[in-house]
Amino acid sequence: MKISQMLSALTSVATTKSQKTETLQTESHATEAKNTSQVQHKIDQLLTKYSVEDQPSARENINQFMARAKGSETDKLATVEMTLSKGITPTTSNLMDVHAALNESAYTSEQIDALTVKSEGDVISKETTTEVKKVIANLKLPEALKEVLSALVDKGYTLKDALTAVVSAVGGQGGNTSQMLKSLSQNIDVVMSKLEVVVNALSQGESVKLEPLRVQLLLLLIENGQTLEDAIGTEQHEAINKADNIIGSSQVAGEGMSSSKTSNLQTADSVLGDALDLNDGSKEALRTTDKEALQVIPHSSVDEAMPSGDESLEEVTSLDDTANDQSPLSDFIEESVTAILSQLEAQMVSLSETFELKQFLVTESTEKTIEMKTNFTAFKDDVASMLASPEEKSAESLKQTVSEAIEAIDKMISKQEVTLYASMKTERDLLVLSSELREASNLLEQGKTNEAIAIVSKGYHMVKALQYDPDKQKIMLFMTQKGEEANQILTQQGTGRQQKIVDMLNSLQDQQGQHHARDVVETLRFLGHNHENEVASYIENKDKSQEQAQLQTNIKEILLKMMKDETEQRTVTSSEKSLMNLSGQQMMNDSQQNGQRRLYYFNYPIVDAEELNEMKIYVSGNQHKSQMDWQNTELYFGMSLKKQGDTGIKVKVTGGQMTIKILNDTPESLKTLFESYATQLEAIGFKDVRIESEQYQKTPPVGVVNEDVKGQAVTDKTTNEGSLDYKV
Amino acid sequence: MSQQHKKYMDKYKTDYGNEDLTHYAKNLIEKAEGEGIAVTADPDKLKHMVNQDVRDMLPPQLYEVIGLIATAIEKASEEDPK
Repeated sequence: MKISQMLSALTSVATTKSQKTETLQTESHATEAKNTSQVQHKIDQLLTKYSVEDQPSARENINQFMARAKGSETDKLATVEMTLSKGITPTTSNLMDVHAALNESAYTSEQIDALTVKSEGDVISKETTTEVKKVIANLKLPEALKEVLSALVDKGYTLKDALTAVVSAVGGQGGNTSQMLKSLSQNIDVVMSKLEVVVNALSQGESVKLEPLRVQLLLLLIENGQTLEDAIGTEQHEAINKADNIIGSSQVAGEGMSSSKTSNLQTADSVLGDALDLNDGSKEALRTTDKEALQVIPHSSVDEAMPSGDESLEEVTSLDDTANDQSPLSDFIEESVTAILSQLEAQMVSLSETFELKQFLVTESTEKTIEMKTNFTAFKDDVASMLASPEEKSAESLKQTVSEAIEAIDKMISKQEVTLYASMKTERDLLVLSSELREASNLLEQGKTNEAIAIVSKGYHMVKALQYDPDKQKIMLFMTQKGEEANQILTQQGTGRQQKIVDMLNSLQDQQGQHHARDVVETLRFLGHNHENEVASYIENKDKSQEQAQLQTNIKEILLKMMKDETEQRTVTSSEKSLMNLSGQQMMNDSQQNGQRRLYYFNYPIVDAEELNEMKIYVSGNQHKSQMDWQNTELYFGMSLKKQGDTGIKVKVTGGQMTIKILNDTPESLKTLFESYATQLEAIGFKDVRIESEQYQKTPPVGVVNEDVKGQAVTDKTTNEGSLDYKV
Repeated sequence: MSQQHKKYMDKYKTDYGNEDLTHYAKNLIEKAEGEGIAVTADPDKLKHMVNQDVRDMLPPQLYEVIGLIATAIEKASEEDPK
């Protein structure tokens, strides 16, 4: 469904077939030269028409674009025309983006693949980890839990798996008292490698922190499938506490060891030796490693790391010199393990008491429900006050308040968080109210004040009767999905990658599988159509708490980050194509269009025979107040379906009356289906909905420009002046 | 588009004239970078992207029509035995 096809009829660029003889080749060259000349002539006409003939860079950029872009010259000229007609700066790059948006598929398999951050084996890439960690950072969870989740993600867990593991570890009940410590024993080499981090930190003069070790030990716990209760049994619990008491407040980080503590540590070592149940080999290995590690620690570093005075330094030096079976570093490590386990236990017990995922969701969703209800009540009061006592207002005043009420209602439907959680009925009621008030507005324009007052009065009662019954499940789903959607896109799950976007589309529909206005808006936002606009609002807005998560979980954001990496690696992949396509669409929808007539264009994803496909959508209409006049508008949906083949849907609304024309080789089944939606369309304000059909023809739309006399100027009419001309 | 956003854009238009938002776009790129948020880094593109909020672009009635057409096509692809 290429826009270029539409122009093929009017530009009539002759094609030169390959010729075998010299004579024909000469003719071919002559034809090419003629074509080049024709193209240049058309470019001249376009530059003049859109008043950019005095910009030398524009011509240069267009010529570069014509040389670089793929496709026929007709395609490219159509892109140039679209770019200029939309007031987009004709840089080569902008032209390339618009060309991609108009002529290429936005969601090919290759492009969807590009959305998946590549991973090596089962290890999630660094980029993925960063993204998922950002998602975690935005979750409303206790900080400690977020830290553990982040650490798990670092280790290659998906967000879902990490959550599952933590919840399992926190909430599990077990009776085996020694498994966790045995597990530590069995994994002593891993433990040692973790502890080497501490040793290295010491050697670099850094103070030793418990946090990383604590997290790492929890990870060990989780990786071994242990729960906290399994892991820390009564016996060990007591032993650890005993050891902990002995160690007292001797924090590893930044504290020295007094001689009395050295003595205590020896006792602690003995206690922990039993508690940890290390086998002899492991103990020996641990101590040998300690000795080796000690040799590389400069005393000055130890001094810096344990800055509690000369006594401490002497103590450590002395211990170092006399490293033996009771190696101080061994004590130190075991002391660390003990302290960590103790802290871990306290923390996890606390967490298990205060946190359960389900409880968290229920609590949060209840709070959200209350917040949403409050907001909706405020909205109702505002709109009701606008519509109250219309008979007491002058026609002019009523016109103004009705207009404001429509704006408030439309904003509520498309923009406010409240509607995101609203039931289908609430959204439908709001839509009907908006349409009714538009009717009142029309009547006021026609001077039919009394009829308008009757409708406004009815609208007032409709507002009063509005019920906001947020769907708790929808709230919970949305809250958990925010992170999961990004996660699904970012991580490779082994299933079809397109499935991830298909799943997203399936989540943006009601129980009957129907996509509503807000679903469409949210789909476009998820794809990133609104990314830059929302970033601008976010940066300029003092309250930054609301939008950050959304900013970081749309596909555009992901593509931009991936492109940055790719640029650094000097490679160009399909993610660039996706980005160009999306950017082209965004630029074409710049609101700064000349004249009353507006044209918007975007590629919209659909699920076609369980796979991802797309529709190319053109919307054209006059402005009415701040938005497009939905009662006088035209839409064209172009698509190539797997079963039905090439299909066009032409929707024309004139004075609110709607005609839908289905263009397909065998349109009957589609026609029947669309007829079943006629009542629904009338219920939301469209009148006399008629469904028509006809054969699909291979000379499809679509009119950025109206078809004109062949061989003449590329266009004589523009979207600013005329309507879309779907020549079929 | 938020009121705040609109206000900023109007200010830039006043400051730089010709409704050319290139300066605004350059400024936004710097600020976004400071915030660690990825945005289109080409001001000639960005200035066209910040100018439209899809939530305001079309009235809800037209978004409803788009949703309904998408629904119908998806249903047809499920049901059509072809």
